[in-house]
Amino acid sequence: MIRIPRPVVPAAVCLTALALLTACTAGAATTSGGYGAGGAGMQMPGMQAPMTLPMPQSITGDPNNPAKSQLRAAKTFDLGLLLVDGTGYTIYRYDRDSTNPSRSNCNGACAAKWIPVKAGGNLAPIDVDQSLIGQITRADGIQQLTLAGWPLYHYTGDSEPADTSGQGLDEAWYPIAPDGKKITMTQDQWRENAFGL
Amino acid sequence: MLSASELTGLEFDPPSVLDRSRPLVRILFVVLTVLALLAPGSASTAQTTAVSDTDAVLLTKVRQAGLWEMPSGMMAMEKGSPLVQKVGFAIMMDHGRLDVATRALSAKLNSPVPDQPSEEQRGWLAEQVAAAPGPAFDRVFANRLRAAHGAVFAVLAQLRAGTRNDEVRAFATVGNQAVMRHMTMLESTGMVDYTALPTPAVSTTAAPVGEPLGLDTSQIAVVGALFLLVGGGLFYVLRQIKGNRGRARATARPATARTGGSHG
Repeated sequence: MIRIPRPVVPAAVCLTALALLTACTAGAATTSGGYGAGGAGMQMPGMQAPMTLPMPQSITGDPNNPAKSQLRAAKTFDLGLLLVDGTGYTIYRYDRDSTNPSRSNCNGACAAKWIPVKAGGNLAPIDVDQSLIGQITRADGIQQLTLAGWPLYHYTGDSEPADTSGQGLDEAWYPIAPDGKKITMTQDQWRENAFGL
Repeated sequence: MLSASELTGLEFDPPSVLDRSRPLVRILFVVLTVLALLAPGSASTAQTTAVSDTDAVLLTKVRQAGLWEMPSGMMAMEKGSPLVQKVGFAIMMDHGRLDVATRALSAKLNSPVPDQPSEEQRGWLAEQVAAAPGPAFDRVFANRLRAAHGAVFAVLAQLRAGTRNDEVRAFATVGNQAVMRHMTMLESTGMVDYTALPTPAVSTTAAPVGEPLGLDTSQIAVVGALFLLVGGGLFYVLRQIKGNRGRARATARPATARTGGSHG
């Protein structure tokens, strides 16, 4: 019989048994968490349909609608107060812009992706402090609306009201709240703490 | 103790080896038992992660709710009285938020959702298109949307309670809260005719008896193995303490005195 130091054998045996146990239970726990992440690029257009639904159009689909220049506060159930246009589309601010004086640093290709909110619509803002609203003349000559000094934009990637697909892009683009602050919270974060626990 | 050593036929071995081999044998037995118990159970611990039919129904329902309620909300902003305009806007926004989440989850779980509202929902949209602006529109809007939300609410509640999918459960939590909010907002218009809503289909005969806990063999095996492990460990520690005392006594006496003791 091979002589092994007395305390080592049972300790090793117990550890092995424990390792086996945890391996088995951990295996059971992790399998329920993993999903096949297939179909990530799936497109759900929804707006092109046999029946024409009177759905609000994105800034690219309806660029001359005066409601696109109307500012409105929306109280969403998850993100709180959100600044949108008169058709419900999210309005963004850009961290690399300056507010004092207001100046846009989004030009050329950037401004093709992030469409400046044009000033000059004659629809009164709803639930937004009129004194926070201003406008600037951009380098390309367009009059752009500002809120609390922040130049305002639409995101061409948004496809429906309250869509916030542009949130966090370039770590600089965020939906703007009616007080001018950026909205960094996502629905996932809201969900985790929905009951303030 | 002595009879045990006689049965194993080791009584003539030096006592030091005898003392060491017995806990080893015992613990090996424990481990083998654990393995034997876990072996058949390990296969059944793997759970299916596929999206169930009911999960797919939830995604479809929420998606289609958005597809007709967003246009409804937009119409309410144009044709409703001031309060209904506000409710319409809020509902349109919330369904936008929900729809983003629905499409994201649908893509993630590879469970496609429709691009069109149902026949019935299109009929409700047509009613709203036909209704005259003002109170007539308000009434159609509030009652059609309130009834539809009531139906979705029941589906969401069942799915929230019973789904096996973590993502769907979280989604159902969000949807449930949103639908509750919408029903309350629609009711705040004062236009909802509650008597026209379907009566609740809840059994009033008796409280449902809970099903017995569905413990499968693997769960029982794991619990059993833990018991054996803890029990075995405890037994070994006690033995070790006893053995140490015995050894201390044995070193005080000559070894022949102990082997002679087995004849007594």
